[in-house]
Amino acid sequence: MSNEKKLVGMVGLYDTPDELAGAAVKVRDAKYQKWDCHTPYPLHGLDDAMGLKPSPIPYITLSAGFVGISAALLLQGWMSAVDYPVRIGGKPMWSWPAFVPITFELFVLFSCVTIMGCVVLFCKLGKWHSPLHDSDIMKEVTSTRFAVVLDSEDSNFTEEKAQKLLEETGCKDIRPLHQIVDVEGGLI
Amino acid sequence: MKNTESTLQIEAKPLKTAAIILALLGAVLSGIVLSDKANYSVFSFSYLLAFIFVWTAVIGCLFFVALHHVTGAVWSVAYRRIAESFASNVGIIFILFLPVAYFTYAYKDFHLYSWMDHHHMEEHPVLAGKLPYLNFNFFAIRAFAFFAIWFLFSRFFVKSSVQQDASIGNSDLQAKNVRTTKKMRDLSGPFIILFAYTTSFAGIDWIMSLDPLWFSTMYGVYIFSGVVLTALSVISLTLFSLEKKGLFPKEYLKKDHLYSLGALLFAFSCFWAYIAFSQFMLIWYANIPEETEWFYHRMHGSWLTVTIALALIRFVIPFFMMLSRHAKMNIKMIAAVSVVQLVGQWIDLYWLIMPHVNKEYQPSLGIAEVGPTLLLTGLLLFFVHRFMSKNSLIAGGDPVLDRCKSFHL
Repeated sequence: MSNEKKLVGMVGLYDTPDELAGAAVKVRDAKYQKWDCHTPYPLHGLDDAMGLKPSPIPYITLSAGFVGISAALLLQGWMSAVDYPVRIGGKPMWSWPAFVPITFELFVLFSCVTIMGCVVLFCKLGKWHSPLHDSDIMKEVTSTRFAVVLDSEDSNFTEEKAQKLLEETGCKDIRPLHQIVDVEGGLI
Repeated sequence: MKNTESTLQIEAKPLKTAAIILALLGAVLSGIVLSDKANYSVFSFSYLLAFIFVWTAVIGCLFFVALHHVTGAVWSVAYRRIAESFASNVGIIFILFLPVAYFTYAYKDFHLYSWMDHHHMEEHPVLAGKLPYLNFNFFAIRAFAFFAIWFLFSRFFVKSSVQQDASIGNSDLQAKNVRTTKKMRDLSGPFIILFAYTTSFAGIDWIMSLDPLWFSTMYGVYIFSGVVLTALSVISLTLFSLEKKGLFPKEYLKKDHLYSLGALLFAFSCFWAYIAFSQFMLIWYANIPEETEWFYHRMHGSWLTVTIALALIRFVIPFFMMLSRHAKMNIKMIAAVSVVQLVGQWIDLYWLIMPHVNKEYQPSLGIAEVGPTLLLTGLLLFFVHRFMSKNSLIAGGDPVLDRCKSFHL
């Protein structure tokens, strides 16, 4: 059984969030596209340092919210004024104030479920494994340290260039990230 | 620690001039209105409106200061002095209240508060039971008690904060400042409890009792939501005008600071909508005549236009203006929403107060309606400006100010 190793990225590990933020700015300015940062906790300001583009999630969520509002109003209106009209308390059939609480709830529900869906989709959840998770690096960045990961699929990426860039950011712990090819021909 | 902002004061005259022009214009308009005796009734209502309008700004800023202390907030340290410059005017507000008391007591041919008509009250079985609460003496005592509480606390918070400024460039006083801040934090909790009671009852006394038969248990909270929105709006607008003149240090106007302010403004707009709708829906659902009448009058004829405008201006428009994260970080957008909210607060008070002039009164925007508001707003701005020109624009002695400078969400 031959365990061939394929280089899929370079990882730079840092000890403080400020070092990471500084490194992120340098990687961003080196025009890297496929790279990511890993931190043990959410780091504010990192999205700016990384130069991330604004997420489309707010617009998707708002649209889903409006779908929720329409769904709720149509549902209640159709049920209580068209399909099975029952006069309650002498109120008109189309009693919009009574519909508002449910409309609000569906607005929130549709928005939240959509956000959940977007997160699953955009974070590429559902993959069974990734080289980073299989390495020991993940243990460190989920407890004490901060990492920049340069993906080998980036057009700028060569092992030497990535190594040099991470050195320039002041990184003292640079590790190549390998993926083990094989076990019956596939990627592990 | 040497702070350059300690010397920052408003030397610029424009605000002062604007305030004086506003007040004079208001005074002239009010004078014209008062020259005709037939206008006394409308004028007393619109004066009440104007008084409540400036009261909400001042009392709301006092609440903002207390909220800042009780939560130990960091982002708002630099903005607190702006709130304090409004909150220091409780004494002025008390003087502005005296005409309301006069209108209540003096006029016999019409009543600002119809519960002053004792004949009518005694004949009505429900209203007769409310007489022990709704009578002039108890009304005056309550108002005096509210003002006493607000005055004492505003004096304490503002004075302590201004005293801390003395430590700028004098490190010996820093330990004392920490003690002062702790004391302010200790007292802010009890004040917020007192504030909840006094503001609710002030709202009930001064506005809700215009119709002595009608009641809503949501009313105090409704008034509170308007109070906070007004305070946030005046703070934001003052901040915007200071920033435009380059008087406010940029390090306190970073995205994180502005986001906190914008998010509060956004949240309270939603809170208002929630409270306003809950109040309406329960009364609409229960459909009890003595409660419904109040809304019925506002949901028919030309008052319906005001009701719809209120919902749009107070909630729908600001909601979409502020929905985006970037809007909440943009001081121009915050200022724009603040203007919308201040107009909203005025319309809100108009909607609460003016239908009680009489059943025939239709919504209109004449000099009788705007005159008192211009006068009182001008006066308030004048005194705010006076406070600002005497004191530092930033609470420079606050021990948390350094943390505020490097504040991150």
